[in-house]
Amino acid sequence: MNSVNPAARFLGGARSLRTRLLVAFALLGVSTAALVAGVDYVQARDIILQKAQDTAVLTITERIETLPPLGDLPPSQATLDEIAGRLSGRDDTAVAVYRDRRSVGRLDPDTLPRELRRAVGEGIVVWQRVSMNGRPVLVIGTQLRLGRPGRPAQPPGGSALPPGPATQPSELEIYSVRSLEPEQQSIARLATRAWLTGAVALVFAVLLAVLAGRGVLEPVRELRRATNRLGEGDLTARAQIRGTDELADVARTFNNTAETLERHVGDLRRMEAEARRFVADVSHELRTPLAAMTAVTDVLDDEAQRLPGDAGRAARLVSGETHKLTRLVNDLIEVSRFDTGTATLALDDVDVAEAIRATLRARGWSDRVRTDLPQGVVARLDPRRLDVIIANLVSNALRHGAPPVSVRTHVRPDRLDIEVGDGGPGLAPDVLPHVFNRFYKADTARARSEGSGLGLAIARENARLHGGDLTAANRPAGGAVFTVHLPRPGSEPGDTR
Amino acid sequence: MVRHEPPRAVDTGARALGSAEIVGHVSRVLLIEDDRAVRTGLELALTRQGHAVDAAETGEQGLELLRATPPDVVVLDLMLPGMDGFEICRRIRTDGDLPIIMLTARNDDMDVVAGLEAGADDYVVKPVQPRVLEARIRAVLRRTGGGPANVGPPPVERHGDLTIDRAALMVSKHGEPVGLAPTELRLLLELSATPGRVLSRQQLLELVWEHDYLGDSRLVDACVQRLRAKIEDDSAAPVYIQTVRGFGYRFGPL
Amino acid sequence: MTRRPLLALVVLIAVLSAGCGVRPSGVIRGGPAPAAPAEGVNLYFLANSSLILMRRPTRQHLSPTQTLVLLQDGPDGDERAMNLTSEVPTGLDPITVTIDASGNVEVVVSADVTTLSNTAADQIVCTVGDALSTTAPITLTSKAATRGPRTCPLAG
Repeated sequence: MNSVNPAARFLGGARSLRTRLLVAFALLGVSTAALVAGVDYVQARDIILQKAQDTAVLTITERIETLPPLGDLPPSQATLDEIAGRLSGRDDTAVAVYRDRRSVGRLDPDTLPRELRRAVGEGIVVWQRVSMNGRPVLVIGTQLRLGRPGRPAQPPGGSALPPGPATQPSELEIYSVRSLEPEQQSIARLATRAWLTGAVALVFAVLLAVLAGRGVLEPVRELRRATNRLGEGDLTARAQIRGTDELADVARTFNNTAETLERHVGDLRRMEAEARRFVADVSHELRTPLAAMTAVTDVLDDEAQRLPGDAGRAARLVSGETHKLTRLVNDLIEVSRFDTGTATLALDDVDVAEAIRATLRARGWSDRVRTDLPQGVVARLDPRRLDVIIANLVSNALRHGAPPVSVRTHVRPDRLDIEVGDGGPGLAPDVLPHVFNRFYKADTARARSEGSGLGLAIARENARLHGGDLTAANRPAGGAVFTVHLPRPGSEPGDTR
Repeated sequence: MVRHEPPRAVDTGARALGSAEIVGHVSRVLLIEDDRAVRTGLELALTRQGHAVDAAETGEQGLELLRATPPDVVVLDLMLPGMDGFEICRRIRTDGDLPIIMLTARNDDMDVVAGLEAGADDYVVKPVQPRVLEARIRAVLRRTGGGPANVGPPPVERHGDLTIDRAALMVSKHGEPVGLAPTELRLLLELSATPGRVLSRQQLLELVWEHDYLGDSRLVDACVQRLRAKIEDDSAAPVYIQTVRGFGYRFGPL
Repeated sequence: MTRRPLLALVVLIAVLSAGCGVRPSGVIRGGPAPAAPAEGVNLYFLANSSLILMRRPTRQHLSPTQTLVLLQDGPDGDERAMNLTSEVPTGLDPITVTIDASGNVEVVVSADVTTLSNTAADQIVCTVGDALSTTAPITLTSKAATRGPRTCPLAG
């Protein structure tokens, strides 16, 4: 899939090496950064929070311990308020609770988490981070214990009585709430830094991936380019060898293989060219003696009837075979011209209908062939070659097919099709793919026909020389049809057809 | 150098009308061909057709024979040792209006075009069937012998600066006679017989060269070029022999 | 092929986002609760028949005997407002609190100790213990009977 998106083109698709490399590097970079930054962040956050909490607890404890002595239980409202007031600070609010009485203030003990209040009864300082009104706060809770007021009595004799515990619980509870927003901001800053680190790591990883990719992909692309060129027929294609790694080895192997291939193909082409030249030369050489023999075939024919018995037959035989040989040699020369690419077109503006009719007329086929030729169709063709094609097709139809033999023309703006069909048995399915092969004779029983076996091959080459083609098929209604396809490169001004 | 005289009292049965009968006398053919077998064969064939044949092995010999016993038509092989066929062709052309038929071994090469430009009237490809050669010789002799049989326009015509005498077979421009080869003359006569009518190359081949069927239109083009060089003021802007693209040639309109 | 790594990346980011910021926590326990400085006198009354500590401000330090006298007077206005009661009868004085050489604490009252309810006895024991700042067992003695030694059920 070809995408115009330059990013997609750069990546080369989801499965490409570059994408995989990029993803792998990105994942590695990001996960490592995430791990490190994450651990860092978590630790730092915990430290920040712990410090804040410890500081807050210490502060509260200190404040409690420096309260003016409490001598009144149950505490009056004023006492509660005073306690709460003394325990509150700039950044935190405290509430003192005695049974169902509480100090007056913003902080409502009922909004405090129940488990915290329960834990306070254990006689220890407890704290908890909660979210109040969407903001993070630290709630500290503790009993307010009281020192024992009594003076330990000295029994006579000096040994002291077992003292009681230094403090005892009142039923006073203190709760302090402190916003953790400053801490949250610090932590948020940490988080941002961590994200930034991650992003930088990602970018860095991607860059690294691109660089690494280039180191791998360039040689691969180079190899692919060379292979493509080789595949398209350029046997001189070689891959540039960079570096000394495995890819360089592959490139070297490729080059060696390409060189061997080039050599072999060169050899084969040379041999083929030599073979073709040989055929051409031989055929050419044959022309001269054949010319001499052909010149006197008429004499032989004329005198044959006057020669006694065998001599007459012999004379006619030689005459006939000379003609055949001439035809074969001419065909061979035609074929070798096609093979070496030296065949040329002698184009003329040809009235197609008239030309076909002339072909039929010259061979005396006008009565035996039905024609359906639109009038006035002029095409730029080589008339001699057209004659060769039509003559071969009609002669085949008459000889190997069966009447009715027809020649039909179909005119299109860009193409001209000439169909030669017969009403015979058609082409057998095993014959059809080989019918244009050289020297292919379909009916092996009829070992020697008049043709050289090159007729259809030459006809097709002639059609192709014009830039068209010759195809064979069986008609659904029965019989074979050969179609000559000829291009008509645009119509001339003044040509109304 | 060999001369052959036609056989006497020949009973050849249903033989085609020999060229001898056409020209009213025994037509003489000069054959220049270096291969002995081909030469012998062609001589045989031509003699049976009733021609008097002079055969030469080289171009130089051919020119000698030409001067000694002027022929009616020359059959010339292009591939000759020594002076090549093109040169012979050119020499014969400069000396006169003798019809020349080329013998080539290859039919779609520069040879054909070069030969036509050198002045040949027609060409045949070796190996050639004797009846085909005979037909070409007949056709070319007809061009020098009688003119077109159909009556119509008056014998002497004036077209612009051109004067065409159909009876005398003479063409003059600005009063000056123009030397045309037989084929060139025949072509001009055919075209000017129907001024303003477009004749396709195939038609001209049949009318002028008498090729049985589709022939090589290069013959027509080469002849038209030579004709224009002789009768047009500016060959690049022809007035008498005009090209109609996609159709053929036309005489005028002036 | 790129789906799985992408998914992993997304999951990673999600996890990271989830762990961000200040998260609520459970209850964290710390050290023992702090105590405010003390003054006044501890008296133990009853709230719904269970011991409860009360304290009254004093100008000077009271002896255990004086503390017990306050105890037998019962809850004052504030305390009564809290629905506090006392089962310590009046008429306990004269009261003497003695500590012998082996560290036994004895409270001698004039009323009959056996008529005291357990709760009342606890009230007395706890009050005296706090007054003496001790957890030693205390024996209550009257003319004829003894109760104890008892310790205050409120461990403190």
